[in-house]
Amino acid sequence: MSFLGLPLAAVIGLALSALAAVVALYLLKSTPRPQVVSNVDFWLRAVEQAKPSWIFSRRIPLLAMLLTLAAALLLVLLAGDPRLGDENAATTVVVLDAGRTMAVRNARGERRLDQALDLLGDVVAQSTRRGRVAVIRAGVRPSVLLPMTRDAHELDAAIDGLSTEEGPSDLVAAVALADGVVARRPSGDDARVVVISDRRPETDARRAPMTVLTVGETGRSLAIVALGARRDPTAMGEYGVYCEVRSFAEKAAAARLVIRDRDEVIAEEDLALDPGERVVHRVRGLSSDASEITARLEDVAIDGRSDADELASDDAAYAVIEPLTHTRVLVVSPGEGNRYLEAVLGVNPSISFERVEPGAWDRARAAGFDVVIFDRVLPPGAEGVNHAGAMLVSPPEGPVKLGGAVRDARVTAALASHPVLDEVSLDGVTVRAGRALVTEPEDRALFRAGRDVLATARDTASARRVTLGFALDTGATDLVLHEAFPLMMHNAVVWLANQESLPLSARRPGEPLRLPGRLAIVGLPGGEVRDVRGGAFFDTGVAGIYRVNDRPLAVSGAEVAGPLEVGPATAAPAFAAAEPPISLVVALVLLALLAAEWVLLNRGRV
Amino acid sequence: MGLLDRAAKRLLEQLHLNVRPQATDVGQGGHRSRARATGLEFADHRMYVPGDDIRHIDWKAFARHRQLLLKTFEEERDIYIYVLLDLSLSMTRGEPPKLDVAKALAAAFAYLGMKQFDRVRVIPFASALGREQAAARSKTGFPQLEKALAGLEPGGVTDFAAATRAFAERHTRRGLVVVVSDLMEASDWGESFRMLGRLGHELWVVRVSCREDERPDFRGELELRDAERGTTVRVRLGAGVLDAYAREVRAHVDRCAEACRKVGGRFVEAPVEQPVDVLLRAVLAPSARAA
Repeated sequence: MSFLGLPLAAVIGLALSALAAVVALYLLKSTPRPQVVSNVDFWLRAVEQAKPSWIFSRRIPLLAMLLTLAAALLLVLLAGDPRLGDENAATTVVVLDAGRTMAVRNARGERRLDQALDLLGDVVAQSTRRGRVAVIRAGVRPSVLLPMTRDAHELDAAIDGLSTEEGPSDLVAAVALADGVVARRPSGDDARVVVISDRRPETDARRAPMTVLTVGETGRSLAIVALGARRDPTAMGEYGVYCEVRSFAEKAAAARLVIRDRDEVIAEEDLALDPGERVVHRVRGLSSDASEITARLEDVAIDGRSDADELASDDAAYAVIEPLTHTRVLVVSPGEGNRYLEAVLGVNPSISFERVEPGAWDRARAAGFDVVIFDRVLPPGAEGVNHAGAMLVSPPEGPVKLGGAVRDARVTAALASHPVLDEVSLDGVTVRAGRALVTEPEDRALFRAGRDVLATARDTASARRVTLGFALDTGATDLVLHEAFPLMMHNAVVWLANQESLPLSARRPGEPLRLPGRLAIVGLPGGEVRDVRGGAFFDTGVAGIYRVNDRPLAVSGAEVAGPLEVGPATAAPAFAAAEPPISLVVALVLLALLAAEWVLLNRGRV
Repeated sequence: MGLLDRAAKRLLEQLHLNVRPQATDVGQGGHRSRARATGLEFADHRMYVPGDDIRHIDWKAFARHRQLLLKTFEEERDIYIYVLLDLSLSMTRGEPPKLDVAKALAAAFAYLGMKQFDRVRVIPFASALGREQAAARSKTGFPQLEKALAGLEPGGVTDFAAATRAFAERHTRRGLVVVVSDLMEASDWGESFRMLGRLGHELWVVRVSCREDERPDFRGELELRDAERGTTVRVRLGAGVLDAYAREVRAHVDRCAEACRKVGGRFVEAPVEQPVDVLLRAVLAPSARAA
């Protein structure tokens, strides 16, 4: 038998207290009280006449005490909520949703997170009576909020200052993490996963029964659901802004959309939206070297009420326009050159290139370019390839070690994590004719066909180099016909010029920022500046404009904005252990004991 | 305040104490007696025998029956009223105490007797007779008697047999003996009642009772102490013992009542919980007649 309501120690303590109290009461009860009567002879005769015939009646005080004691112990048992089953401890892992929608406030001004924290307190208090509990915070990335503990009081410190993120919570990952915690429980322990959220996760825990406790009510909001800013490809230096606003309210809504570039208002419009309506606002022809765009909904009113918008975080969105960069490329190509290569370089407005015959190449001239591409040729002497940024396309034998010939080889593996292949898909790319590359220790294979390395990248302290084992024409590969080609070339030029930057697209709140080096200075939207080591910055829960080494980066939750609906409510928290309750049986026994005590003591059988 | 209030006295003024003729004394009074003499109340005819007073020959009867018939008359005489008042310590129980009610009843008998010019003696008793209070033959002496009754203090153990023997030795004149007691002594009261009957007294027993004696509401472990003897007994009381106790007391009282009736006496219950005027009516009214 196990107890769900109270810890075993508390049940034992209460039982001992009840034992002492009952015995003391009966000792007190058996102490005679003095009473004067007119004549004791009548009493003596009465006692003699009423002598019990039932032998057990002589021991009725003792029996009554035992019955009362049993009744008291049963009451203690009931308070402990006894369950059939073994005494296995229970491991409870609670997943607490701290995503953006948990900041939605109800009519009483109470956040969904506040309701969730109340529930969390109950769950933790119950769980620690019988076992251990851990709490996982489900934000954009799940994290352990409260490590496994038996002390419910540790929760207070853990949730101190807890706030929601402005990005969506990843409940699937959080449940997976909970599964991992459950897997490490002591063998033989029961386990359960409790999810406290405003929606049901799209997955179930695999290692333990999962209970979902839903909090909140469906909310109303006017939200910026998209904000984009990009340069006009036809007019260098100009950019446009795309902003989309949607109503998630069942009543008519109104607001003023204000778009600013830093502190300067670049657009302003009064919006009136019907329930569910979507409004798009575009701004074009703006000119700036670099912009930090903020779109904000002001004076939001739903059904005429200014306080009806229940989520403030989706009223703002952020975007940036990167500063213009210019990369100079020298293409060393024989004959008529390479039209695919020149075309792909020519369409990129940030690249200016110049082609020379191999004979016209000299080091002094090359020094004026950020990147040199040797197309099917190599300059005399090995020093030519030691340019700070060099790309060797189908190089002849020489400083580059070449392997065997490659024919009709399909790319089978690619190093997607390398900046040159960032967002580049080489699926289906075939090399019809080329040479395999022999990698040296400092080389990294970019992609290969089976064992044959088709492309390498080298990054040393003084230079970067990309080598392709095949020519960039349709006779050698169909890569030049794939959409991956211009992207790969762009990535390669940027990487070789050492100008790779953080992705320009706005990231979601909570997603990590990849930093350009091991040490970076990160400025937060609130003005705080941190020195960050390790190549990544994770504290991006707040939306806004971040600065990485003075380079602006937008973190915006616009694309995750959506209706503030609540998932289906769970009927009742299934906190009870799987074992069946025996309270009813205990209560019936208790009633029987009380009835027996009444029959013995209150019906005159003395 | 006295033992009897104005209302009680007004009630007593309307009542008359009736006593059996054989219990009357020789003195002239207000009670019918067995003596046939020159009273005013015609009683009967009897055959004339020589020596009878010829003034009482009923000549009209002689004219009709040709027989000499003599008219006889009842003689009205006074009586002695002995009120035996139980002063034992058991009379202190009850709410109000049984003794207070008993004193009031004794005073009521005395008042009635004085009103009828009878000779009233209030005799307290416990294990022996106490100092008796002799009352004047008129109501003028009642305040003094009332004061004396009020000053009586309880004490001693009930021994009615000894008290009765002492009473018989001390008082040889017949009369009405009123025993005012709670009868809470388990011994046989019947023998004493029979002795009083044999002495020619008319016996009235007024049992002053209280709820504690009849059906107490004691429960649990108790150390019972006898109010008179001081002896103690430890008992655990439940409904069974209480029922048995009530039966014991009732049987004892019934035996006393039966013994009283067998000697021609009256037995009356006087619960202390009832008002005094109700008690007076219950005790006196059945035998009394309106004045």
